[in-house]
Amino acid sequence: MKRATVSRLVKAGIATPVAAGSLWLGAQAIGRAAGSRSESFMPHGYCYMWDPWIVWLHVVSDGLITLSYYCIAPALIYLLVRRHRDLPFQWPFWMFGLFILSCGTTHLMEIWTVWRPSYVLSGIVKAITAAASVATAVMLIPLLPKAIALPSPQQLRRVNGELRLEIIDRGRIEQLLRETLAEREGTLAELADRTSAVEALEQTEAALRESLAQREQTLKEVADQKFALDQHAIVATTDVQGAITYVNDKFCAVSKYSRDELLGQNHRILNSGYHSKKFFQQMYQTIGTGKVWHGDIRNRAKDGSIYWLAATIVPFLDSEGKPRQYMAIRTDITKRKRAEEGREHLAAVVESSDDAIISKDLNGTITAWNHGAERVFGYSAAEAIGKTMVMLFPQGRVNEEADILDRIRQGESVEHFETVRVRKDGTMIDVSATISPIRDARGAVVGASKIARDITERKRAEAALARQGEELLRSQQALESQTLMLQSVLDSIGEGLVAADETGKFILWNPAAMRIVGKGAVNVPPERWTDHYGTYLPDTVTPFPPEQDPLLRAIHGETCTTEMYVRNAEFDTGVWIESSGSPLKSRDGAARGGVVAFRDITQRRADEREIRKLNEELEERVGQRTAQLAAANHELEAFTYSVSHDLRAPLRHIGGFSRILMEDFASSMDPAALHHLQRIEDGARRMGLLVDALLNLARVGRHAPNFQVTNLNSLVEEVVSLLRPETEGRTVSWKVTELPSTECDPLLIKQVFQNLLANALKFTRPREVAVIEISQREENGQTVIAVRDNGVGFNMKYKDKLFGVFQRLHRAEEFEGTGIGLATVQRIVHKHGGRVWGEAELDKGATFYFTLGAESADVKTSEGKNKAAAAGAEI
Amino acid sequence: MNPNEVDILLVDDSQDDIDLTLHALRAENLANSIFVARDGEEALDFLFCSGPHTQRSFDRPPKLVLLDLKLPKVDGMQVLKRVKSDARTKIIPVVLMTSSKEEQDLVIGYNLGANSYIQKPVDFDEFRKAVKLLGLYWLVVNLPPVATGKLKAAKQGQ
Repeated sequence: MKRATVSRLVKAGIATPVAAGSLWLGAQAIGRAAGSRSESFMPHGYCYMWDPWIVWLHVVSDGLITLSYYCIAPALIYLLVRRHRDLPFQWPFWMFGLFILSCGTTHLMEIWTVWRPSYVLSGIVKAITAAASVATAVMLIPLLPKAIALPSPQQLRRVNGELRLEIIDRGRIEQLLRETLAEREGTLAELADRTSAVEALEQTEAALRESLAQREQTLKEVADQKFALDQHAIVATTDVQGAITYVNDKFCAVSKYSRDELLGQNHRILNSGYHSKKFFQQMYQTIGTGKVWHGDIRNRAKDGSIYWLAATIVPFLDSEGKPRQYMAIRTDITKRKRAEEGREHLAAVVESSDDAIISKDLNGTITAWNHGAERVFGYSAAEAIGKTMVMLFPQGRVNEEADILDRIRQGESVEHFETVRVRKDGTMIDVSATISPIRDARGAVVGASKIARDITERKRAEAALARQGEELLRSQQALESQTLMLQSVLDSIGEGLVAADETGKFILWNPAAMRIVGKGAVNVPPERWTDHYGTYLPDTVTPFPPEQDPLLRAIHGETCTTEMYVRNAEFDTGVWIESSGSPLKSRDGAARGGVVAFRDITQRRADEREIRKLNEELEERVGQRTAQLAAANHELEAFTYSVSHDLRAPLRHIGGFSRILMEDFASSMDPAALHHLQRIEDGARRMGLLVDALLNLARVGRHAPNFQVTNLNSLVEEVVSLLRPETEGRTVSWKVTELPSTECDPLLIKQVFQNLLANALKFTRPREVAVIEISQREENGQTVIAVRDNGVGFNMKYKDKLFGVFQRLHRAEEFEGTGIGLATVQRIVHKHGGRVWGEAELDKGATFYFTLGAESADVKTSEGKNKAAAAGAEI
Repeated sequence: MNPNEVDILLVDDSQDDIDLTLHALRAENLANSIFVARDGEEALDFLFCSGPHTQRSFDRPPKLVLLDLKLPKVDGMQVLKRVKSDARTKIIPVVLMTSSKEEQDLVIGYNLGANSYIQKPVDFDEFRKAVKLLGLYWLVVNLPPVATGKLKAAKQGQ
């Protein structure tokens, strides 16, 4: 609720009881004023005989009525307050409110008067109520019609809506009006412009009329010229694209097209296909740049006939100098062209002829000399024309010319006259000449034309032919003797030779064939050869398939070799034959039959069988041997194993008990005896070393090497540290350069280094400072490892003994050793496919070299090497 | 010598080797209670308290068995296998002493559970050294095995 409304309600809420209260007080006061009268009255309760039921009925009812009236009144006042603006007449409502209020109070008084007889007061209140009611009624009646006439809110809303729509319409109409107005103004402006333009136009018209008159004059002149032109020439005009815009009558006449057919077309319709593209391109270029073009053109008329035109095409330029149309003026030159062509043709014929064509006058002076004449006689046209024919005659024939000329003068021709002439270079040639007279237009003989052919070649050919005939005869004889020889060859060779032509008919069957197969050539068709001659597959039972017969295949162009078995009535046992067939071809490559050569291979087959059998036996034996070898190998392994156990134990015992003897019984033994014992012990120890070294050697031999890429430096380091105990108390300088990593068995190569370095250490013992160098170098693509020491060296005389088992180059007192170390090294290096060798100088030190592998060791694969080495494991 | 107070069981078929070994042990005063078996069968009888050695007890095993491989009747490896696969005897330290240092023997021996593997050196000095080291280590330094039976008994006793 609006604050205004609330305040009004509050006011009403206060006003009502206040009004009621004041009314009541007022009434009271008046009552008291007229006080005494009231005490004598009886309250209404006596009327009711103070029956509680009646009393309370009246009291409660009046109470409720009072309450209701006192509620209705404020409600009415609230309505008034809220809508006071909407209501054009408020006074009736106020009066009504007052009426209700006072009516309510009346009822209240009724309650009062049940107990208190304040009848004066209650009467006053009733009077007020009456007044209010009457006033209200009086006011209400005239207002009724007005109230009815008030529009309801619904109606009002509708009216509003209609008004709003009308406003929108009006707005639109206004807009339209404004636009129309603008248009009108525009149109008005235009009209003003038009008027001034019209004036200008009228002026121009006058000027134009003048020039028009001039033009007409000019046109007349042009038309006259044109007429003249049309009489002589063929005229056409085209636009810049080449479309024909005008043709004169002559054009139509000569091209045989009607004017309608030509207009709008391009000149291409007349193209006879004679001229090249370049010709037309050059034409277009010329006229396109504004220049005049002259030329001869060959065209084709509508009916296909050909005509020649001499043409001039003139471009007409516009104000910018560019062509705007072309005019072509042409004359018919067909006849002239034909005549020209004819002459040219004839001239070409003469020129192209191989024969010499010469024309002369009646004095014998040469007037024409063709290309053929140049060739035959050697004189060029320039040299010959003007000279006499006589220069061509050799000595002794000069008079021929006079005879010829005589006959010519008489109009006779001399035909195919064979004679001899001389060329420019002096060589004589045989010629066959035909001379005929040349007549002029009147028929008189004015000269002669001579056609001479160089027949030197022909004469030579004739001679050659005769010679050939003789040769032919001689070769025929030779052929005969050769045939005889071949025949005897065929008869004598051991191989059967059989040939047939393309139909399968036998043309050759040598005696060897007869002998091998048992039968001769018989005219049986190829399908029946198998049957007749008894041919079988090498299994000896299946008849040979006729279509695979080598001779048949040869006839069909196939070269082949097959084995067959032949058994027929002539043989009890059959024979095996190997047949090779090849086709016979004529010179042009066409198949002309086939030839088969066959030989008896029965023996060969037997031999083959024998060989196979031997091979099998061999295989068996090899297998056995391998098994034996394997067994031997196995035995050896067992042997080695036993040696490890059995040989060593006794050695230990010998050494051991000798030692015990020496130690425990030293006091009671002769020094010599002790010495002997020592030697026994030494011997045993030595033997132990030998046994160990031998075992090692054998193990190396058996060991299947395991190739892997190994860094040699690491191996050397290991060995050097292994040998450390040996270097106690000595000065040893180890010089190890960078060694490669290579494919090898690390364990075995470690052994190699062990042996070589131990040797180096041993033999450098006499030196103050032992210098041992391990290095590598490249030699022929291989890596060579070198171990050099500055020890006592050895004599190169004995270098072959270096690697022998038990071979030593020093005495045992000088340097101990088993003599197996280097043998072991060699065994290992060979297993790697390498070489080992030593170089030394006595007292200057020794160097031992070894390689590991035939090529650069990195190339071969581990697998391959492992396999190869395992396969070649030495026993 | 009381068979139940044996320090070392020496199994070897070669009298010479036995004498040398004993000589070496004597030098170290380790030879007091050594029992020598000449073949595999004797060794097994001893260790398993069978045959002529029934009076032996499993609770009193030897402190060390020096076992040669090549033995008659029962092979060294067989002995090793039997000893090491029986709960009563597998605690006994067995040192293989043999001439061979073939890789296969090493593999088999260790796989069967040998405690140590010595190759008998050919050189007597070396041999003596090895035996001395062996004896000192296994008899002096090493704490001897305690039989499980003893433990049970000890428990029972409590």
